[in-house]
Amino acid sequence: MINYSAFLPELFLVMAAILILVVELFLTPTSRRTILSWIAFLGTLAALLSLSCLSGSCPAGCNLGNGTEVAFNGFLKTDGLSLFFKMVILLATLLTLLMTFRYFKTHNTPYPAEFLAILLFSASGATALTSAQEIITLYIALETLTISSYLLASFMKKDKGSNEAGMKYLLLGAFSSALLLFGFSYLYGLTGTTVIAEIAKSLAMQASSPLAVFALILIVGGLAFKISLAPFHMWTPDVYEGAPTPVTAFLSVASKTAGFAAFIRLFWVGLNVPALQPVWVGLFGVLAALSIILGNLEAIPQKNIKRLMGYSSIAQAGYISTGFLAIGPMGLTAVLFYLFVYLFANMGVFLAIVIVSNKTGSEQIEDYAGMWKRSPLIGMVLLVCLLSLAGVPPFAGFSGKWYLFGAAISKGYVWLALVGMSFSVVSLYYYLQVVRQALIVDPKDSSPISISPLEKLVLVACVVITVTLGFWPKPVMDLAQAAASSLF
Amino acid sequence: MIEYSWLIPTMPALAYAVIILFTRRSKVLSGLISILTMAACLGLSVGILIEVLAKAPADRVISISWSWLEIPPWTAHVGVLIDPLSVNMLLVVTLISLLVQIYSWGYMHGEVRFSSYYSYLSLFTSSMLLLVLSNNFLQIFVGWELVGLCSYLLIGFWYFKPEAADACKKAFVVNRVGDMGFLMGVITIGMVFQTFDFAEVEKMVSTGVANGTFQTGFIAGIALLLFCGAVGKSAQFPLHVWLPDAMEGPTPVSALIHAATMVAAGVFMVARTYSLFLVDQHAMTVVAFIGGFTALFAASIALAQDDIKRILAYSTLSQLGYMIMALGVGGYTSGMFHLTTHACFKALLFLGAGSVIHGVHNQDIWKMGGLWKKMGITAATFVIATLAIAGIFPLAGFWSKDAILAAVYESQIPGHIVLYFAAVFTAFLTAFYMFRLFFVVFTGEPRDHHAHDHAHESPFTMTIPLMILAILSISVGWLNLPGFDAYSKFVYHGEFHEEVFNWTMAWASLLVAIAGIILSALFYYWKVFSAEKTAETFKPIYLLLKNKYYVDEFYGWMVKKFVFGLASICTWFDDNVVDDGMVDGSGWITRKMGSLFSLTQTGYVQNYALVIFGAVAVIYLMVSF
Repeated sequence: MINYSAFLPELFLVMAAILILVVELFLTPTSRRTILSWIAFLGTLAALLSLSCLSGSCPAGCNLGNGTEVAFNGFLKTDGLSLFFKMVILLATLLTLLMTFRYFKTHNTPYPAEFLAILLFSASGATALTSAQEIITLYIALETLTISSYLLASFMKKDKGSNEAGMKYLLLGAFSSALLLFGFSYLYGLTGTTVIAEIAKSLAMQASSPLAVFALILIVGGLAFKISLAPFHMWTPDVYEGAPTPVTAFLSVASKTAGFAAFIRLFWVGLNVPALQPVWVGLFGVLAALSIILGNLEAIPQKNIKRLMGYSSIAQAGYISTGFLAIGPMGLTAVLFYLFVYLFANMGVFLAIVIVSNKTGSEQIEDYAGMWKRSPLIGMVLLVCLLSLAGVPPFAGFSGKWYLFGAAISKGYVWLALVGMSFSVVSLYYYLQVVRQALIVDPKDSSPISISPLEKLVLVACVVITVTLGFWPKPVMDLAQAAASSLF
Repeated sequence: MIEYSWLIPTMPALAYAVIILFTRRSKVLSGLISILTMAACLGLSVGILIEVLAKAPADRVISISWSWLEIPPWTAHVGVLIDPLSVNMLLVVTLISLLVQIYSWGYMHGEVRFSSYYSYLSLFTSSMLLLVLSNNFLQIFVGWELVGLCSYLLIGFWYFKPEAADACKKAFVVNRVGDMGFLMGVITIGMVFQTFDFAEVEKMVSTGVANGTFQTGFIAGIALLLFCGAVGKSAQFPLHVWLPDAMEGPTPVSALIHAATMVAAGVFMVARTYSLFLVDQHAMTVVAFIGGFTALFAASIALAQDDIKRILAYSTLSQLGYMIMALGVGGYTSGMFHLTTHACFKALLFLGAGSVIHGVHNQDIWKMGGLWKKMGITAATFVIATLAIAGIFPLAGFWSKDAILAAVYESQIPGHIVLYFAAVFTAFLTAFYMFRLFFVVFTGEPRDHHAHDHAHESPFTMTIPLMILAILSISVGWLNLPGFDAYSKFVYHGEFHEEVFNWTMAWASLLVAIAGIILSALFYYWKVFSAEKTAETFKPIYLLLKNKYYVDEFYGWMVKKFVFGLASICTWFDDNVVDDGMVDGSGWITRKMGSLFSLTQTGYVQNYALVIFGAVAVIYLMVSF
């Protein structure tokens, strides 16, 4: 008997995706966009709601789960930690779908059904990844996520930029997958098992071998690509710039969150053995610092806002890795909290980008001049979300970074926290460039920008959450602490 | 009701957000939101009062905490503390705020930034209520700074007037001096006691002093640091200079913030942390003498001022001095009682002055005169408030002021007799200058016929709050009628003990007040004595008072001489070393590095792949060797 509860959210996503493909056959081109979008939206919403049932706190009192569900001989285990990751990924997917509604209106996609279905498949890969307890399962989930992402990135097939982005992402993604698989194969060779917990046991009994270190480095290389950690980050700006904006938003949050989930499962559980731990912790320290420095510095001369957000996301990956180094409940809580904060700040900005470029057709920062006068709400979103990303109090990004750096300092990585803090100051420069354009410079064209009620709601929600969590992080911190407790 | 007390500061804060974000374009809607929220807060406060009164005196302290920020091992709390003291303040703040907001509807009529004005009033009230309800030092500090900010925004509401812009800066800077001490006190408390909770700190202090862990002098030091904050916010000497200038704001704001509520925050804070002050008599003596000195000092300045609002401002300083003095001599109940009565009649005086200014468009009392006939309600309510502040039987001020005088007379601190006579003399001066104001403005012949012809009674939105406050100014004092003592039995510190009303002393001070009024009438009503001639005869004293003892000039000189000197050295260093060298230099280097690193982003996949594989190889080599 298969325990379906363990992959219930994934089931919803996949069923919605299949339903979209089937229903599309019966629809006329004029009506299909709305109906299909709604199916996708409801499917994701159902997946999101099922999380609360699985956590055992279902408001309706169903008995689907009690926090931990195991299936396939323990290869897939949905615990509190994976539920938190799934929540972030599914929220990101919902917001991506919302952007897609608007994006479809201007960019005439001939295949909306395929786009939506692939997006949902991709999301199901990401959520499944967070439950994987075994490296083959993990790899398959990861490839479900990334292969779908290649397609999504290159989906605007008449658009040169999108094609370039998809091609680059495919080639470099394939290289990184090769590294990852190569590393996995050594790991299997050394331990004779693919279950992560067993790998840890087996490695703990062995003496440190250069092969294990080699495997570790290959795995870091392969996975660091997914979360765009320097020096495996170089694809990021190019792909972010060229891909359709909703896809960029999806990659920047959902894909990154899944990557961190994989890192935590593999390294905090599988490779957390005395012989290897100092190696990868030191390695991550260097990579995190490198990402923070390179991401922030290279963002400065950017003129295109999507490209800017690409560099920003590299720096953000560096900040999150700072908390990842602090192995323990405090570090994990900080990472989870920051991912939640990052989700809303980043998604708010990308939704604003989609809305603006829909009207102006431009993604250049200088075309954001006077955005405040054209739409006060977008001005507000840019101000609050970008300052939150920069870590300015009283926004959520500040408390998030506070916890991340605090966790790092408590484990003795003062130098890394200092790098993070000083380069947060550097990051203000480029974030404020956008804010300056939007709030201070006079608009060249002052025609107002219209926003649909649903989008307004989401934009306001992003602002409210970002501000509230700055003042009162407790609700999400409690959630993150509960999630972290399933690992410790 | 008590479990919903957190709504009291939250609702006006939400009203602020709603007005700023959504309803700013509609003046009517913004005003209504603000007024209705305040009415709801008042209703809730009354409900809490009833609930607290229903409890036995020992159960009247309810503290509820929520954890706010957790940074292990340390947790910051937010909470509400419901006890007679905070319930008293809740009622004062919400009631005065509601009346002032209704009054403002008429007074600010035609103001372009009407909605912003109401949003600031809401934010102010919210911050004040946060401060009042706070159960820990951290939260009280947050509320403290927020009311300071709102005061700044509202003094400078007409920021295009240079005087208003200067005044709001002055208020902010002078308050900073006091707040510095307050913050140091709060930090010391956090470090020494490892908690910010009032009740826990109180308990640790009492056990710590009893078993000798803490020296009384140390606790007194903390208490005096906290008192610095009170000196700034309640405008006690030597930080009193900001309050008279704060009168540049709209008059209802002066009534709400700079007379009735915010300036009383310092008094409230001393009452809230009273246990720390009680530990050492030296601290109490300092508090009492600063209060007593301010009372006399400000009253004497008020004698020679010409601006209607400034006279009232100095009388506020003087009355706040009374309250601080009362707390200093151990008269906890009398100090808080005077705060309550003063809030009513001082708000009334300011709103009445606002009504006059609204009528004649002027603030100089020598351009007014004979307004009694033109503005009946304003004049009638004004005379009630004037009698109340002068301490005439049986109005509110009589009961509270005499309670303070009795407390000073019976106290144990050294030199209390000196304080007593200073306080009685202040009462005399108060009666004199308040009636000087009244006679000059409302009686006699009009001095400026143009302004007089223009004068008119204010609309009913303004006169109704005046009438309500007039009723309160008469009757609030009756809460403490001898034998009834409802107030003393409700608000007290430590153990309740009966206080016998000293009628002899009360009649004596009443006579003093009446003497003040008669002297004032001789000068300004019957004009038997000539004010001009007197000023001429005592010219040096007159000039000294007129120029407020030259304190502003002294501060100005100090700042120019010392602060500016130091500042110019710092400016040079900043311009040449910090700005040109470090800031511009690091900015230039950062931008250049950004451009340089961007060159690595070639756009060629083969380069990127090379980096990926190269990085893996380099990392392996580095780890292995």
